[in-house]
Amino acid sequence: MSMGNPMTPALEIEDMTVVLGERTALCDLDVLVPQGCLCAVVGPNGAGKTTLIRTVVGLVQPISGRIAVLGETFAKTCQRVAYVPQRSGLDWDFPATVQDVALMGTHHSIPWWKSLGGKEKDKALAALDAVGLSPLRDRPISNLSGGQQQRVLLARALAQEPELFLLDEPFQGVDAASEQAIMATLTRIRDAGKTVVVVHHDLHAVAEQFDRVIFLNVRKIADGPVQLVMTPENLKHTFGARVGFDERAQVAR
Amino acid sequence: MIAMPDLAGITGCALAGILYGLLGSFSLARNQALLGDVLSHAAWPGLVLALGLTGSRNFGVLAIGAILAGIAAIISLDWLGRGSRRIKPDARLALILSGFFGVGMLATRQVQISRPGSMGHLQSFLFGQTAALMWSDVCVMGLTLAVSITVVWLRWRDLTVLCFDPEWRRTTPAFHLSTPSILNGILVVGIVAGLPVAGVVLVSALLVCLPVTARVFTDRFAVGTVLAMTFGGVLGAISPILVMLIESGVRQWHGNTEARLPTGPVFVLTGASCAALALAFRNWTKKTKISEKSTHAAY
Repeated sequence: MSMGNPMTPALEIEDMTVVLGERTALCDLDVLVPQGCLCAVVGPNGAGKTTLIRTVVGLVQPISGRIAVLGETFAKTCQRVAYVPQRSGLDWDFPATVQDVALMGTHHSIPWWKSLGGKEKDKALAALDAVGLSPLRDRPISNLSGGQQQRVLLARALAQEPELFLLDEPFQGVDAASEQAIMATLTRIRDAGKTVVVVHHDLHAVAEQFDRVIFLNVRKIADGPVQLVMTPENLKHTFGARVGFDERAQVAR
Repeated sequence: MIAMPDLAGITGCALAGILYGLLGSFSLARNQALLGDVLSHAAWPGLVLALGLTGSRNFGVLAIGAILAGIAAIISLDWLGRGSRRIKPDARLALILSGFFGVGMLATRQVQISRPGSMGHLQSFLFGQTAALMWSDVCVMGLTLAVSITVVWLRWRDLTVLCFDPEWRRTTPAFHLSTPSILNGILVVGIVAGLPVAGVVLVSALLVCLPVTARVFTDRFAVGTVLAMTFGGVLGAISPILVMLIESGVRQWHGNTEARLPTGPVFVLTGASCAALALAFRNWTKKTKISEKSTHAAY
């Protein structure tokens, strides 16, 4: 698989507007995420963070604007992108094991008439290993904690072997051990030159562990390197007038 | 003296059971257990209109009408779910079920007038009538089952992802645009093919009972599907024999030669009993499993 030009932005959105029902979810959005960074998307509830991710992967159609994923339309580059949905939207009573879910990430690498072979299983196991779940590979997914569920979904994304990861609220309702495991995995992915975009709630964690941040509240408030755009003004504009950095971070925790 | 039950009846029930086990597994996994009920009721007007228009009693001809009505129901369900003011899934299902069945009841009235004597034949599809099962009906079921199994076999991976995470599936390059339609297609055709056995009203019971029973014994989707098909086949084969035994027993002890038991409801009741027993068994074993689970929870 070719890596493409490293100078091409991982994600480039221009003038995008998304309407859900009768509500404008995202308005005139311009976003640029370069390759090889760890980028957080932050904003209050209803700011359109989830909608942003879902629009990029084609689950929601924008009414206007242009989206380039790794320099092309998502339809052309979907092989190089992995989407990690919110775990609360899934039916965890589905009869499958941890390994079954990780294997789903390898489905696209083989034609439909062939059965999954040793190569795919190795890939899935390596992915489970990376998130620390290989001891649980035969466990039914109905027996997992919230953090473990989230790690399974991350393993499935790893098994897709993408260049761009898009994660929707991976730290929501996750225990501390899983949060650390997920964060460590995401950092390793970034260190390997890949791009990670994460919808996040914890502003302290973003300030400490992320390279870039996008402030979102229907419109884009700011985006750029954390040390440049993590300012009291941007926080105020994003979360409302009275919330300072420390207060907000505590609420988010 | 116990008469040998009709072989066509036994084969038909067994095939229908296998078919419902397969289709029910997918309905249950997609959290669409009621879809089968809606589709079987929606097939009713198609069946009645086909009889009214052609006058034919050939199941093949009636099935075409029923399948067309089922497809119309699927399309209407999809259409009601679109747009900004969309209707919630449970309301959609209720609307389509009652709407289509209402049309069917109106049509039944008209067909009764225009084609007197056809009511008995129609009624066998409403509640199922294994005694009236012919080998041609059994062949239709066998063919439907063969096609369904082949399709599921070929698309297995895509189907499991469709059941577990349909949205993520649409973001991956591996998905086939046609898989959901194919699954709905075999569901409609399968339900219609099994109507002579279980009837419009009772189909959904089998679609739910069999996979629910299977689910208790396994945590793997593939194993559960095969188990549900096995249960369906075995219960289907047993039910007509059970009916025969009970009828002859009643005759012997009470001298009542008019005793008749309908096979469809007996099939459904054995299925429901199995599901109830299996769930009771699970609740009983769960208590012993909790201590085991807590030792594994270290990760």
